[in-house]
Amino acid sequence: MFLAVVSWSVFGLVNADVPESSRVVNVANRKATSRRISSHHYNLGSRSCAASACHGSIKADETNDDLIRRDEYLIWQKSDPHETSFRALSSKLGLEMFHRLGVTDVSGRALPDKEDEYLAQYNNCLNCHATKIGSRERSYVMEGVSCESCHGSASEWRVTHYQESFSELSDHEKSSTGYRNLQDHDLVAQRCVSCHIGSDQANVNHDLIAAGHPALRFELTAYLDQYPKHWKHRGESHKTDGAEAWFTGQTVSATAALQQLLRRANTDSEHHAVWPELSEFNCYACHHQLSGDSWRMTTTFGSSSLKGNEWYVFGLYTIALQRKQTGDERAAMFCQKMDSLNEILGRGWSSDQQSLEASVREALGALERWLKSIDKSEFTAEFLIAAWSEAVSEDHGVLLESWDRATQAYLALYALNEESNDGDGAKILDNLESMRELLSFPNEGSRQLNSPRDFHGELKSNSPEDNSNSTNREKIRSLMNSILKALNSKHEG
Amino acid sequence: MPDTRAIKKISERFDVESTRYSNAIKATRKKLTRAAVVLTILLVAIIYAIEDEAAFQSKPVSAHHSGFARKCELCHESSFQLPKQILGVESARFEHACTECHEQHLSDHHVNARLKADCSTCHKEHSGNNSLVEVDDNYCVTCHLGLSESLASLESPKSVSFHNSIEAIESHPEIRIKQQLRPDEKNSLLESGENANIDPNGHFVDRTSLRFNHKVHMHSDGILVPPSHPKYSTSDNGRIQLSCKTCHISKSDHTGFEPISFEQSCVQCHELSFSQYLEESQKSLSEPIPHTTPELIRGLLRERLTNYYENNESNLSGTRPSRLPTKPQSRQGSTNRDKWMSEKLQAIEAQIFTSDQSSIESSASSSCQLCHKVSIERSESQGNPPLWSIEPPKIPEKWLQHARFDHARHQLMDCTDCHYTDDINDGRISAVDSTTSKHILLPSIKTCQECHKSKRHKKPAFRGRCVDCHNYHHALPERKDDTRLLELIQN
Amino acid sequence: MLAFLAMIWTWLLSARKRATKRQLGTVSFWLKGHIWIGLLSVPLVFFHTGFQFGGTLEQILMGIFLLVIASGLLGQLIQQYIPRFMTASLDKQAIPEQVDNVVSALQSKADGLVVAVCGTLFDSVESESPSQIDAIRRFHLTHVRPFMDIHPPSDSVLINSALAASVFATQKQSVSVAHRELLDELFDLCDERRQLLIQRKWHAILHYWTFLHIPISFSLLVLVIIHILTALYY
Repeated sequence: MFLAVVSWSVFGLVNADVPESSRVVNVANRKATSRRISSHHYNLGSRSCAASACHGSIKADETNDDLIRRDEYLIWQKSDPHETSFRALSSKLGLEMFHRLGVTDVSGRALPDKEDEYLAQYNNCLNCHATKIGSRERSYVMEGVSCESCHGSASEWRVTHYQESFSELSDHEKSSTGYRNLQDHDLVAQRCVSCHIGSDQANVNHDLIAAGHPALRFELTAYLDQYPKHWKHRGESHKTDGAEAWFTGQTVSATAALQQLLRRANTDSEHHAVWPELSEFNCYACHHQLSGDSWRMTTTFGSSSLKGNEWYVFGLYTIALQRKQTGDERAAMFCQKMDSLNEILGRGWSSDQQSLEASVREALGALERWLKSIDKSEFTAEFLIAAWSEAVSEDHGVLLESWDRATQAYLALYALNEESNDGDGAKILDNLESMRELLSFPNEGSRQLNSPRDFHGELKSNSPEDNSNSTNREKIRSLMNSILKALNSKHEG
Repeated sequence: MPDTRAIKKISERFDVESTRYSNAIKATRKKLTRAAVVLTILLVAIIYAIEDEAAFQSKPVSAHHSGFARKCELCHESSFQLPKQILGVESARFEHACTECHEQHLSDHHVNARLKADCSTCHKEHSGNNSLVEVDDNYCVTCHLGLSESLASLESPKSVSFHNSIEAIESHPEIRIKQQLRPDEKNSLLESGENANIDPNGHFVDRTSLRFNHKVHMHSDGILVPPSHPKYSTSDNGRIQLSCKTCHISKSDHTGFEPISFEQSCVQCHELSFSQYLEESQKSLSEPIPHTTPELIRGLLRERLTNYYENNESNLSGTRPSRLPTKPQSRQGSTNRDKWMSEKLQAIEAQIFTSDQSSIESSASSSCQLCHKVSIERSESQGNPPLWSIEPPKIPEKWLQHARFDHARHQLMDCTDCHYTDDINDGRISAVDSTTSKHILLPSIKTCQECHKSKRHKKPAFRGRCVDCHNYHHALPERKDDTRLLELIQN
Repeated sequence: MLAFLAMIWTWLLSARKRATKRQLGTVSFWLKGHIWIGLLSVPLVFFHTGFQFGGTLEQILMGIFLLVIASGLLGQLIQQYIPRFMTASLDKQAIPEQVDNVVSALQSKADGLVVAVCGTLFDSVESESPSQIDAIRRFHLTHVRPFMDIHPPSDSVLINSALAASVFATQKQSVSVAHRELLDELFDLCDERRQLLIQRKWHAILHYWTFLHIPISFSLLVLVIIHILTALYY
């Protein structure tokens, strides 16, 4: 009881400096712990984790006795792209960005009257790109996203976390020391999206993207698959593929995306956001080829001409649709709210911000209620595959209406396949590879394109029986169909 | 003859007063006596003034203590020491004063020795300029002539199978390592258990787990060496002749021989590398590995493999395309590296530790198993390579536990004059012909007795005194610091 | 230790010789003991020292000890043989303390004899033709009387008995028969005197050796005591 009181009060103190007005937002955000340096916990820097007897060994621990690999620091340092994030600020692209944002000159020096702005901008970048080491009064930055960015500020638990007594603490007690539990996909995803999608402190908006920042297209299983793993694979929670991982990624991403949208549509006096925030729309609504047969024109012209950014929500939407069929009312509500949101978004500048905000709020609320009501174990691979199959059962062109949809479908199928190599699995992988090629941003050796050049071509018909393969989109469609078929038979058989 | 003197009356001739006169002779004598006494005392005083207390020494102190000749109290700590010693007063023993500067103690030899003796029992001072260290055999024989009685009286904890009657070198018992034990004695391994085991015949055999064949190496036709050997020469068909001195290098201070060093003696022919296993491109990994423990070898191999991997990552690691179509193809680092390293490590270690390759002619390298006893401490489990262990050879640096043998003084002899063993079946096998490392190539005491005789022997021979080989103070405590000595010298 | 005891005994003996009050056995017994134990102490001392000479004190001690022994042996020899020799060769002995007295008496007797025959002893008249009486008188004054002194001149012809006999014989020939008896009497007196002289000499030898033996034995004693004390003390 006493401990509960203490930890609650500590918790309260930790969040004490969260502004009152955004608390509504932060209620949902609390799990995605902020990177803010609290007055109690502070970062020590990755070097303090990197003793060779701890996490800085040059060789991994080969036995199964130990929970850790011991060479985590080295892996992070050598292969983890997070390590380079701080240096990216001063890379060629980084400097160009500052210049394009109008705060520095060509060489990277701040412009005379823009120093404050530059600093503000720089600090803004640091929120995601660096780890602030040291206490609030004396903090400095020298490394990118390092250990404590994800695992929590270590000032209080560095010397206790390896002791037996620490493992006997409850989750609550552990987190009161600043230690962040990353034991399942949910917790991991929440930490990822706080930078990769955004939070109240992290906002990669269109201005930044225009300046050169890569667009944010996070997908949990794809990112995890590529991530250099500094942990020992232990059981389900460490799987990078599979139904649970994918679904969790989707739920967390959708939630975070809607929350970010809410922030960007905020109309209250203190946090009034400037709308429209262009990154909340489909990139290719504006960034498109001017040729006639672009898929954008076929799908968007006439109906809602702008599309909202479907990257984060579409997958979940598809699943929710399937759940609607099985009588999940909350899922149905979510779908409905999403539809109306998309409708408002589709109207572009002609919809007013307040109704947009209201709609977003409703959609977010509906999503949260739905997610609270579900039992994740019901969302098995079979169910999810069935959901995707169902989506194309009537109109198999629906997944190809935009590149985002198609790519989400591809990633979902990839994850649900779980990379099995046996028999059918190999064929599926081949198909996925082919899909990938057609969906990819081509790399022409010296330059990497920024959009899916090869995702084009007319869909002659949307009927399920149509197996034509003449255009790329048709090819993608048929690949998708065969993958779905194979996956279905795999899970039935 | 009758007295016919002319003087008639006694009274005329007799001076009756004479008895009243004092006897001049006696008076003079008395005076002389008194004078003599006074002179004597004076003489002693003069001598004392000149020589201090050293005047009262029976003989000068030994040369090493001559600096303290005037300071009797340094050794004679209590006054009236002799009567006190006779009465058994503890502080009158010559022990504490000696241990002020010297680190040797009576108990070095036996824990109860001090009950019967003190330092001065064997080290007789005031005998002129002799060496106190050259203790006469008689002192040793005092106890060792009838050892069981002495031991019994001193409550010895050791077994009494120690030979108990030694008078001179002629009656010296057999060297323990060469003793043939009776069946009932086999159970008591004695101290030799550190260096030797006992075979079923009751003989001591070398305990080392190292395999070495002297005969092969010392062959009269020479031994083949690889071309990389510094002494390789085609004119001798690639053979060189090894001698005892090639590997058994005597210490610079002539107190014995240096321990055999692999790096000095063996590595030129028995290099530890595993080049055959690697593909051409990986020969850079195949530098010889040092002669060290399996753990360190593993660490070294890992380091080399890691370095190799990192320098050649593009060739080694599998290309794993990123799933995301927005990203270009990229590789994954660590998991593949681990797998590759683990496989390689296992294979290389297996070759190093257990390969059968031993022939120099095939210019293959040697494996540890050629000479060592290699075993697996922990077998492979769940992808972890097995943990090898090599039994430490336990080659003793000193075989004779309680004696010292001065090789420098015997340098006119040939090594094989003494280094041989007597096998039951094959008779005398000299070191050069020994084929197994189980042989303990030490001679019996009889070999020593051929030249060394006690002084009672008629024919001229080398002396065999106890102190020539043995040291009473063989369990030396830590060396004392020299502060006391310096104090004495400086004052 | 035994050597020490022997020494103690020896010393006691000399004390015993002088302590006439408490007689623990005859002097001769003690004397014999003294000698034999003294001799016994020699090998004892040698064994004690281990046939080695030690330090300064020990060396002096040994020297003095040897001196004592040597002088003792010498004395023993003297004491053994001289008295007998004296008894055999000197028949006209006197008590040693009385010798001077006896010599004076002899001198006055000789004087008396000469006066009886020659009238006065000292005649200042120098006659031209010395008569026999004068010759005798002169002979007496020149040779006999000085010889009769307590300390005769060392060049006196009468010291040697053979020479004295020849001198007297010569003198007797130059005098008449009537005076020869006087000369014979004088000769006897001189003979007695001579014997007393010899006796005195031997007496000195007999006694003076102790002047060496006893003082140095005392100093030996002192040294031994010092030796013992220091040996025990250190």
